[in-house]
Amino acid sequence: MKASLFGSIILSLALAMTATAQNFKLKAQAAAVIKDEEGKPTPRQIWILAASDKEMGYLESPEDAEFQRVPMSQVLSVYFFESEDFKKAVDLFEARKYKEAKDLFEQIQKTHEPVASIKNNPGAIAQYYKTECLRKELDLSNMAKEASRIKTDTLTYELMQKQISLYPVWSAVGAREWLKAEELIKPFEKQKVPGFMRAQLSYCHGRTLEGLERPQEALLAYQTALVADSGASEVVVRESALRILEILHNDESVKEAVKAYDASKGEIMTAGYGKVLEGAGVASLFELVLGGGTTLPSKYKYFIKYKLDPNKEEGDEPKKVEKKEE
Amino acid sequence: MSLRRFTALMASAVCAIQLTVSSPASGQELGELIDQSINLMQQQNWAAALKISEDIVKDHGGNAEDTYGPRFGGVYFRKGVCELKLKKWDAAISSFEICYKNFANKPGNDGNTNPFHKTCLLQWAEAAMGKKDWQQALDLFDKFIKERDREKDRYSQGPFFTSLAICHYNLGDFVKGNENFEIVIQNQEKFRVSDAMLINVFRYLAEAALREEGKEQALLDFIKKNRGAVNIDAFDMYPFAPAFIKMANDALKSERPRAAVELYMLVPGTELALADAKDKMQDLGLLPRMRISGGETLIKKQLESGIEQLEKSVTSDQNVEMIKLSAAAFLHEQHSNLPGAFAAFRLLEEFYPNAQNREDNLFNLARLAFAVDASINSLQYAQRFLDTFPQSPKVPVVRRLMLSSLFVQGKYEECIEIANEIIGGLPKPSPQHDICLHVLGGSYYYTGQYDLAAPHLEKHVTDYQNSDSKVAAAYFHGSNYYRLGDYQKAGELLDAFIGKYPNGSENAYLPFALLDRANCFFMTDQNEPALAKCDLLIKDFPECNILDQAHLLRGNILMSMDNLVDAEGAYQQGLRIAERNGSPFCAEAIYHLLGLLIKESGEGKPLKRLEEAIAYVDKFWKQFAEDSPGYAREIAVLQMPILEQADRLDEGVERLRKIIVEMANEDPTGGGIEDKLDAYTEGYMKKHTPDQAKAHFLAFDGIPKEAKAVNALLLVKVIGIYGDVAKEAQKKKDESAEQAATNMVKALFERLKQDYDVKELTPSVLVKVGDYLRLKTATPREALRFYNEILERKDKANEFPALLGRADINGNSTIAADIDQALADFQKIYDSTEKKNEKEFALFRMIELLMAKKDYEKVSERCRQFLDKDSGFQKSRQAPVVGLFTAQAFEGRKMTEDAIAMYAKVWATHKGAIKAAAPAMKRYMELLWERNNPAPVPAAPGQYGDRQSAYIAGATWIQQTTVIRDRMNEEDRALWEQVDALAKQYAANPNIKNLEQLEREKKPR
Repeated sequence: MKASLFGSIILSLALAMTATAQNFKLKAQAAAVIKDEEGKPTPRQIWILAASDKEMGYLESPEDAEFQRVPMSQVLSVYFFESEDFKKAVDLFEARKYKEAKDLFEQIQKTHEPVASIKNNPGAIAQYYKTECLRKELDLSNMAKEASRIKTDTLTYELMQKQISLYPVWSAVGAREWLKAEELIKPFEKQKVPGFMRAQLSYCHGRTLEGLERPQEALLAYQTALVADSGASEVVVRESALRILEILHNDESVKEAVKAYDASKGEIMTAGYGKVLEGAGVASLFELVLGGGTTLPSKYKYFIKYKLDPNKEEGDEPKKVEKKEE
Repeated sequence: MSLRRFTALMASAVCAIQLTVSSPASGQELGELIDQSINLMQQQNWAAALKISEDIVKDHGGNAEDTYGPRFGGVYFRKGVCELKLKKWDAAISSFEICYKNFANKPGNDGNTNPFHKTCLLQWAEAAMGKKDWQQALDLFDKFIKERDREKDRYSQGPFFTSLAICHYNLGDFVKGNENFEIVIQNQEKFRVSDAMLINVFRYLAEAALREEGKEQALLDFIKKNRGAVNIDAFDMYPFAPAFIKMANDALKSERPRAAVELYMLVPGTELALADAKDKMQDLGLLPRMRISGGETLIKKQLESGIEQLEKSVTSDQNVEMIKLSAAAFLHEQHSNLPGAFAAFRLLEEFYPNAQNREDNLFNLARLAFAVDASINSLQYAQRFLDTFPQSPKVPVVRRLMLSSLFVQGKYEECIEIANEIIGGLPKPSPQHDICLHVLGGSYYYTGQYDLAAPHLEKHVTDYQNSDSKVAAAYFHGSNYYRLGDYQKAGELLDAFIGKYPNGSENAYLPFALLDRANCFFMTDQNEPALAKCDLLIKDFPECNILDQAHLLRGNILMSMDNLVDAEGAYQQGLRIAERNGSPFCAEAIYHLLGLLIKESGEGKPLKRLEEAIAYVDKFWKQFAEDSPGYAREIAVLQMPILEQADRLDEGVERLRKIIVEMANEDPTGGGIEDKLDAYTEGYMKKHTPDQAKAHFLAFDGIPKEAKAVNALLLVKVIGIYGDVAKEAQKKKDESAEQAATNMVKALFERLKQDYDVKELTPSVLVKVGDYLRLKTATPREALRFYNEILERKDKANEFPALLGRADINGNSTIAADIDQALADFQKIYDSTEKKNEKEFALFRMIELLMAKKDYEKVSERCRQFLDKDSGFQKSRQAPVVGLFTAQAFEGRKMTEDAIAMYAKVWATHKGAIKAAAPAMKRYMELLWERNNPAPVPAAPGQYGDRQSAYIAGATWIQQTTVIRDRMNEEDRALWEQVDALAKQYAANPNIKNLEQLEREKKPR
């Protein structure tokens, strides 16, 4: 709203007091369909200077000194071409350089404030990406602040809308409001959602369950996060793997199983042995793929030595003693 | 894709040039043909266009260089392009080669030039790429760069560099490949290269990297450096999904998981691609197409068709999401992260139930559910599988998994339910029947249903001697007999088991078997071998989790050998180990130690080591009571004398009160509560009057009225209290107090009979009521319904007291059928009971009843049995009477001489046992008197005739027993007096010399 108002002030002042394009800092190249004088939709390539809810100022050529203005009611569609900066920012984001990407998106967002009222303008998209950068950096309190600034009425992309629908969950997790987070996650549990959403929801669920002191249930949620979108949600996957390892590392049954296994040179398999294998699997996968290139923290490295050799015969497994009750 | 685009660009360029080749002979005709071919090429009708070019070459190609000059090269160029399009690589190569070699531009050929002379090198290279002759292609590209006219021979840099990259990748030169690829990436906008083209090149890179051993890293490095470039829009990437999925799958199978995962990550989900396509449609707005960047154009028709396809794919039975989830499951399982694989299959089952391979997915889900944490409700998936795919060949495996998993998890009740349900339908023999039988027997065993376990265990060891679970099954088999109380059989089987699998590192059940074997020895009073087995277990398995039990059993054995010192050591050791292991046997150890301290001091006597006993008591309640409620109840009873001695009786009484209330609420039938009530009553009565007890017991705070059996027991307790009062009053000869107490007892029994249905009463209460009615009332037969109730129940508690009571009543009947019933009951007791007193009583009563029936043969037989030196009853209180019965039976059988001898034996051996000795003496005297044999002639001193002897025996016995006459009860005194009277009667006979006379005759004159 603020950006739109700002754009609106700029535009009205500019239109009223000046007649040249030099007063505008922004020239956003776009493809627009605008009704001509006879009301016929006409595709145009234009350079937009500013826009309000009511009208839009643009150039027909970037070199033009005079700008045109058109009532928004005549503007049927606008598509902003990706600027070099925008492309660069997206590339940084895709390259997982979130800090640099965020700075650039912030700049883009500010630059495009004059067109903030236009649907899917680069500023709105940049605001979304900026929020995503913070989420990827797990700076959840700032993410929540930036998420609240996204104007969902001007950002209508379905993909982004889907992601935006998860921000309340992330915000609750960031604020450690576990019960609220659980309430927010619940409706998604039986709902079919794309893998990237499932991964995030599962991670948030894991965090929530841990917050609610249900670490054993959290394990399965984190495991779901690992597999939901083949690891494409790299931050979620890495963090989930680390949380699994931390939970297992602190699990008394795991400690006992490790002790018994070591003492018996692999002969004795106690109740916690299954979890040791889980830790071994996650630790080795962390080094291979789940860590996204980061190093496995040294305190979890011991898990790896318990990894089963997939080529080993079944009969080579440690003996399992059936439950004996007296 | 890249090849097609590259060709398309060039082809359009070719077609855009209006070529006319004039021929002196038939220029018009050739020109028309060329125009036709160009038109067809523009329509992308490559086959028809090629046909025309081929016809031109056929009709005009001979000596064309001379006839038409270089410009005829265009015919070969177009022919080559068509062949390229039709993937006729060799033909295309040949056409381009002719175009290049035979129709070269020469200086001075003004107006007759071959515009494709150099650029055809690019097409030639493309054809070589089609033929996978990468080096030739590279050489041709290089040749083009070197030979081209910079002004005339322009080319598209995007396809050029991408082609170079592709060739290098295919030749395994990743450095040069990356070099060219990165040029494209960095100039994507300038070169107008679409994202799809980039991904196509990347596909070649990936394929080459995965094709060659050890090149995986080249792929990973490239992705790390250029992740932004290869992460393209989902909709644009989606067409490449099959190729990338295939590569990823291959990478996964060839154990290159990092590459596999990176490739899977690049493939967008169907829903993601669909959302992206819809977003692109939004961008397009009203426009039919829009170029959005150098290389990208949005085309409405393409998007619409893409959306339609994706929407179908979202709901199809095999889409990218399913493949990726399956791959994730495979990867995680391969790396022993079973919960990860489980999570993937769970997502597949929950959200893609229409998957083509759902049977496999659900099977894997069920399989993994059993393998991962037990908190997951693994059964639901197995059950879902069985419900959904009842005909699947995997059904037996699932059922087996269900059983094995439940068994390992200790869910024996569920095992029993499932195994019983399926065992009938399993083929025999079969692996599934093997497991089912083992699990069923084992589950019954673990749930203490040993009788039900027995046939299954027996069958398993017989039918599946090579089973995977043969060791466990053999152990269960032997151990089950121990638990059934067949110590002999159990001992044999356990010995065989220990002998067959003697290696502890291979036989996890060995320590358990040793413990059971020791118990078998102990239960059959073979203390030494029992100790030996315990010692072996302790020595060979110092780390096993039943070591505490071994020490406790050792303590029990030593206790039974009255070796209290060593027993105490064993119990203490057991306690130490149990405490160290946090085992539940701490409670048992303390229980035994307290028992030992009490025994050491003598039952009912003050404890010698009170402080130690108190320390154990306090330790128990502080540390172990909560986790051992069973022992808490026993120790609450055991500790009473200890607490009393320590002046802490109230504490013990209060604890018992709570336990009684707790048990009554837990089990209103009063199971196991009786000894607690006994102890409580005893403790309570130390500080309360009978009337207080009556008021308290008959409205016991906390015990619900519905707990009828418990309330009946309480009533019986009050009856007992007043019974004691009556006895005490009788002792003190306080008749009025005795009467009052007796009346109270009667009234309370009446109340018991009226207020409680026999069905509501516990066996012990039934026995008490029955015994009271039998022994203390004039209507003993009323007791029969109480005894019969016990005997009709499945629970055999108090069966023998009930049988005894019933037999006693029937035995006093005059009806033959009642006596026969009594005999049958006594026989049953005699055969079944292990209690010596019950056995003795039953045998004695049988003799009595047989006597009443005058079945002297059987009486003799039973008497012999009773008096046999091995019977253990020789010194019994009843032995004189049995002797008497023996003599009477001889008489009944007309064996007078034997009878006389037996009577003599009875009165001579058991002089003081008046009840037997007096009748024996009387009858002995009578029989001698009747026989009346004279004295031998000549008679030695002390040798008399029968009648004199009868008198002497009787009178002497009377003399000898007169000293105890005053202590005799009325019945005995009456019997004694009968002998006395008979002796006096005989003395009155003039032929009989009395004792004084005989004494005088002995004196020397």
